[in-house]
Order: sequence, then structure tokens, then C-alpha cells
Amino acid sequence: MRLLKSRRKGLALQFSEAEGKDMAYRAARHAMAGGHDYSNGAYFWDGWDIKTNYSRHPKVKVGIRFSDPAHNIFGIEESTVLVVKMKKVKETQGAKTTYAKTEIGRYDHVYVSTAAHGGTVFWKFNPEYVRLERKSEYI
Amino acid sequence: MKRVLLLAVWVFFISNRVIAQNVVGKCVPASFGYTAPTDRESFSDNFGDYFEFKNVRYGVNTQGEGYIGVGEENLMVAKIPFRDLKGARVSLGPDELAIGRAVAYGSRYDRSVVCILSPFSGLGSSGSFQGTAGLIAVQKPHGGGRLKVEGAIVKVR
Repeated sequence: MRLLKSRRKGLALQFSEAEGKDMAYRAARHAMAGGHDYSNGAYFWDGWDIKTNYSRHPKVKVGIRFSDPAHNIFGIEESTVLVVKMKKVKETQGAKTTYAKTEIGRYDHVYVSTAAHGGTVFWKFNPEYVRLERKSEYI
Repeated sequence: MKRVLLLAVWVFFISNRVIAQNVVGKCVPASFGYTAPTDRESFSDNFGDYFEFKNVRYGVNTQGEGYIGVGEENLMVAKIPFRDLKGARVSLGPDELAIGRAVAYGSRYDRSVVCILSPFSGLGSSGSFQGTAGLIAVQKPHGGGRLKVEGAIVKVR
């Protein structure tokens, strides 16, 4: 009986996940066809697991910030991790090699929220992170 | 009782598959929660952008390919042998791990082993809701030994 119940629960979960995925694809196709982009330019998203797994969540570990308090649908805290970006240059004088470090900038979060709908928060990279770490906006 | 026994046997076999790899077994169980959010430095040089932990560099080169570096040696992530969750050998693409957003911690069992836990790259939630990530274990050479690097796709705590 219990097995049947968990099987039913699993199927329901599978169905709701498939439904969510289907909705996400429809929304993405709609945005790409020139319609309204509900994610507001996001490349990343998170569901409830960011709240339930907050202290061990990879995004929280590198820093998250809400660009609008309304995006904080799970009532979680912003996290900041200050990263000082240094340019390292090798200098050789005779047989001696030294490394000179020069600060070129700093950022304290990697993800910034763009929107929140239903049970999903949407994110994009902090532009300062993209610039300093020479990243593309989606990888 | 029977269920507990079955679970114990299952856990034994699954964990053995990871532990069978000498070095990466010293980094499990893996968790992003092991590191405290502290200020850190990120470096940029002619080879790429990287973080450093106990003299082990991890980051991406100027072509956006992940790498691990110790001393003068740089090893591309695509060249590291990985095991998947079932213990089968797999190789990851050069940008499949978001190694620039990885966390690093020392092994509890071996001081010479540095563990690098990286989320997957790409769109979406990057594997975080499935609770999986890429784990790279680096054993620094001592006494003239060779640098050992092993990888595994693991469930994270």
C-alpha cells in the first residue's frame, strides 16, 4: 500500500516536473519568437531547493543578490563573497623570477536576480563578474 | 530489517566504486557546505583566470577550457579520467564544468590531497537540484612522486 502511494507520488512529481519543463520551453520559444521574455534576460534559474539547501547551494556559495526585493519569493538572505581580482605578471631579473600582483577590480556576488514567477527565481551573471573573469554570459 | 540490509549493501557497492579510485575517494562525501564564505583572490595571467588553494590552481584558460595547475604543470579537465555515478569511465568536455565557480577544500584523510568540487556549467540550475557535481581530487607530488589527478561525478550533500 505504502509502495503504491510512493509510486503515485513519484508519478505526480514526474508529471508536474514535465509540465514545468514544458511551460519553460513554451516561454523560451515565445521569447525567442520576439514575444515577451518573462525571465527578463535570465540564463539560470532555481526552485525550492535554494531555500531547503541554502547553506550548501553552489550559487549561494559564490554570492547571490536580488535586484528587486520582490524576486525573493523564498525569503532567503542574499550572500556575498568578496573576490579581489589580481593581474599576475611574471618578472625575470637574471636568474630570479618574481610575480607582481596588481588589483584590477572586485566583485562580491556572481548571480543577480532578474525575475521570479511561480516557484522559480531567475538569475543572470553579475556584469562585473563577467567582465573581470572574462566569461560569456551563460557558461 | 530487510530494507536496511539492502540499503547497506547498496551504499557499500556505490561508495566502493568511488573509493576504488585511490585519490578521489579521499574527497568523499563531497559538499559545497564545507567552505565558509570568505574573501578570496582570483588571478589572471597569460594562461587564464584561476583561483588558488594550497598551491593548486583551478580555473579556465583563455579559450574558456577548465584546467588544474600545480607548479609549472597545467592539466586540462578534458584530459582527467572521470567516473560517473555508476562507476563507469567518462570524459568531460573542456567547458562542461563551471570550474571558475568551484569550491576547494582539503581532504580529511590525506593532507596532500586537495578536493575541487565544481557545479556543471550551462543554462538552468546547473545540476544543483539533482544534487550532482564534478569532483576533482589532486594529490600533490611529494618526495619526487608524480602529480595524481582523478575525477568523479558525485552526489553532493
